[in-house]
Amino acid sequence: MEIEFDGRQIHLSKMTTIYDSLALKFSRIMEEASVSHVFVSGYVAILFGRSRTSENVDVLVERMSFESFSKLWDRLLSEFECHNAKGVKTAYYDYLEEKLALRFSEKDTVLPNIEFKWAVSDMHRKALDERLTVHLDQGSIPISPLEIQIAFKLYLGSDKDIEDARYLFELFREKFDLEGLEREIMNLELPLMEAKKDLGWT
Amino acid sequence: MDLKEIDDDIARNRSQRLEFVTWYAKWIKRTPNRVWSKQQKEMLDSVIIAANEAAGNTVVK
Repeated sequence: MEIEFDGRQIHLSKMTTIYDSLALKFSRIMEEASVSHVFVSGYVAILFGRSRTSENVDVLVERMSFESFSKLWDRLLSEFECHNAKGVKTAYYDYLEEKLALRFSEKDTVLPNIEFKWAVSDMHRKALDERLTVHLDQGSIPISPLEIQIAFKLYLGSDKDIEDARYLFELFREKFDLEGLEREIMNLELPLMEAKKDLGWT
Repeated sequence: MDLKEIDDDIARNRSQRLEFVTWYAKWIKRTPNRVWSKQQKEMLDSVIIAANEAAGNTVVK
């Protein structure tokens, strides 16, 4: 893998998947609207080559007023459709403000879809504030810091999540702030020895 | 039914999957982007395209 790290900037030239194209298109609209957002969870592993599929691409978004969201909603619906909220008030008040996610996909498709929710927890906000930017040939995608991503995947704890965590750890173990990763693991009150075993961190 | 036999099998599968994930990540690290990303694209996109075609949806390529 040819990849360059430059502080919070990552440069990666690869053939883009349907997931990447969806994330790039969505991110472009968010950037045009000056809305802070960060891609998290399984898509981060897929972006870096993990060979598994997913129904959705998770994105955390800076909470905003109803008025601001209304403008973003109109812009998003010019290129996407929302599958679970049919109007902007429902989307905002019954979903986002209730900490539920909206699901957007390209028009006339269902898979994959964007799972859009507010960044409300401390961990969400940290992922947003400390996000990395991955520069592909076709554009840029903001992602969660990898240490946070790995620790949270371990916390989720399903086989799929642990495999994603192990994949990212092995891929970038020489580039990590390992003390930072330990801190993130301990912040989530995970047993360190068990976490290291799951990651293959010997 | 011997549940221990099933549990042992699940544990072996989990361990082998994790070993493969490590092996695969090491393979990605030493493989040029054009090679691994072509394989990844073919695998992932084909699943999504087939799923949308089966559902009668537009295919995004």
